[in-house]
Amino acid sequence: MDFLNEKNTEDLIVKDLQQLGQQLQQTNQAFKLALAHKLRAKVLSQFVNPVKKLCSLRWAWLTAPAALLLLVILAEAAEYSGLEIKPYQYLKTTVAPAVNRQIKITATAIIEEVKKIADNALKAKLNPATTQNKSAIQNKTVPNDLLELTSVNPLILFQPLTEQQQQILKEEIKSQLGKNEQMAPNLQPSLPAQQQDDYQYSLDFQPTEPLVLENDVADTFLNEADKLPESLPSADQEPVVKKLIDSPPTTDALVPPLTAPIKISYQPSENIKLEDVPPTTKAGEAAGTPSTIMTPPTPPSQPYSNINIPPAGQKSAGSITELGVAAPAEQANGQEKTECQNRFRLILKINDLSKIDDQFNNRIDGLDIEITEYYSSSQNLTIILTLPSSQYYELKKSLASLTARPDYFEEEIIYNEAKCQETVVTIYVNKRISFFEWLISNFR
Amino acid sequence: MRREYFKAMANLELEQRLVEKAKRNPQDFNQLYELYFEKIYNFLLARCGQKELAEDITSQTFLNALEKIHNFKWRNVSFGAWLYRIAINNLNSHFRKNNRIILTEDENLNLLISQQTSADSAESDLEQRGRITELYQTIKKLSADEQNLIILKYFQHKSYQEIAKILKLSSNTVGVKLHRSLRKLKIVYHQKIK
Repeated sequence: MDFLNEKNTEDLIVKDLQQLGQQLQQTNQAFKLALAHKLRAKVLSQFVNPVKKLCSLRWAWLTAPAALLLLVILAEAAEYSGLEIKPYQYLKTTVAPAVNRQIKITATAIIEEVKKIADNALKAKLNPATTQNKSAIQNKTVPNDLLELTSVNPLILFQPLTEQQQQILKEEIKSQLGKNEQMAPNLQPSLPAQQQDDYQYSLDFQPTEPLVLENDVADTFLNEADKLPESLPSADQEPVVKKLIDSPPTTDALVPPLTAPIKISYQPSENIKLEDVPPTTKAGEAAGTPSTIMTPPTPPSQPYSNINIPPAGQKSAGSITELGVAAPAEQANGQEKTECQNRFRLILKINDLSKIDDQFNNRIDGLDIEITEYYSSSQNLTIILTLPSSQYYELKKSLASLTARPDYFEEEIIYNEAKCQETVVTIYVNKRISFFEWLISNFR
Repeated sequence: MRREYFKAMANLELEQRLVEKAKRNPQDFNQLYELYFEKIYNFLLARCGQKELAEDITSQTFLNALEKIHNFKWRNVSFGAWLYRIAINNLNSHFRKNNRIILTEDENLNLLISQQTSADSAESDLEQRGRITELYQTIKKLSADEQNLIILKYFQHKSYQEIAKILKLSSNTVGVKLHRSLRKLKIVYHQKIK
């Protein structure tokens, strides 16, 4: 009975609680609306556009430039009184000019672009036909002949030949020479006298290295010319060979100085080197006709009479020759006498020799180059070796093409007498290991 | 049972979408406000018994929620549970600051109940009116946690899981605590009637 009573009272309480809950469920619409309005206002005030917020910070816009100006004045005053503020100096000397420069560059670029656009717009307005032409060019409506003519780039002729091309060229010249030998007595010079003089040279001139460059290039030009006769000048015009010789040398092999008039003569003998054959054909000549023009040999009594070697171009002490730049004036001294060899003292400047010293010491004995002295200090390694010019320039050229090439060379002529030079070449090496690998592999 | 579960899940998904929307654009908070205003207000009214105080705490709760909605992370706890928690915290801090004012709430509550019962003519017998008033006064004598449990369960009709999430308790704990609270209420209520 108690249990039943208890159960009843519990049920009654729960029932009463639920009823109480129902009675307390009220709707307060006025308050709900008021609160909604308040929340909306809060949202609008809280989430302002950040740009607006930034702009509204007037005190910051006013005080920041003022503070900056004050700081600059203080720093300048301190500097004037002798106090060094390094960050300020850095900003003043480095950052500010750099920023200025960048701004100028950008501004000029923008101005140019704007000008271009304006000009184009103006042109398009004034002459609408040009735009049509433009589109026609884009659609490749240009005549094919014109395209061929414009596409002939004379610079391509100065590119160095590959070995295969050189071989073919040599054989061609050989065959031409064979023919010419038979026909020599009947041949008459076809060039004007002045030009003949210009291209004569004595056979006594014997370069230490095979001559490959300009003469061969000239012959290549001739071969090219046979293929494209329309694009090249006629025989009456300035000879193409002269053009080539007047142009600066593109490779570093031994070449006689081109600025000086060198007499060229042809002496048929079995000792003739193919590389020494002068370019004698004219551009306009048809293929198949004998193209080599020969002059009577120079009397042996005056072997060097016509050779004018210009004074060696001396570089100023400590001048820096960057890699990849054409050979310096010393190249003119490539025509060395056998009794005189230019001497190059190589000093390799590197930071840390500890790693390569042993390696280099082990291997340096095996080098073919004549090393007169070899010593190293903590900061540099000096290898004094006697290199002929050709070998030196070959070394330099190879170094230029090397991926681990040194930063730069310093060439200083310390001795120059009777066409013999002694040059100190300081090579600054960064990637030392690969550099030495290269050096060892090339001079072994 | 299964239908209720799916309904609850659908509600949760809808609620999650609304919360994400409100996070992106605070002006969309209005939808959440519409959804929860009545519940929070009635809970606070039942809990404090004063209309003005309930209004104050409700407005404070929603303002807090609007400010902190960016911090709200969805962890399968409904936004409502988070709102209830804010409301309870606000109310507790209010009571902590102004514990002397609580004495006057009985009058307000009696007034509230009398307004409701007089409006409903079928239930307007004196006995029931007196019983309900007594019951409410008994509830007010329980601790804050016990009051929360009873109000959420019998006034707001929340499930054990929902209550557990609001009060950061396990469902079993909620069941046990609710049972104890109800027994305590019954004892006090009987004593009062006798």
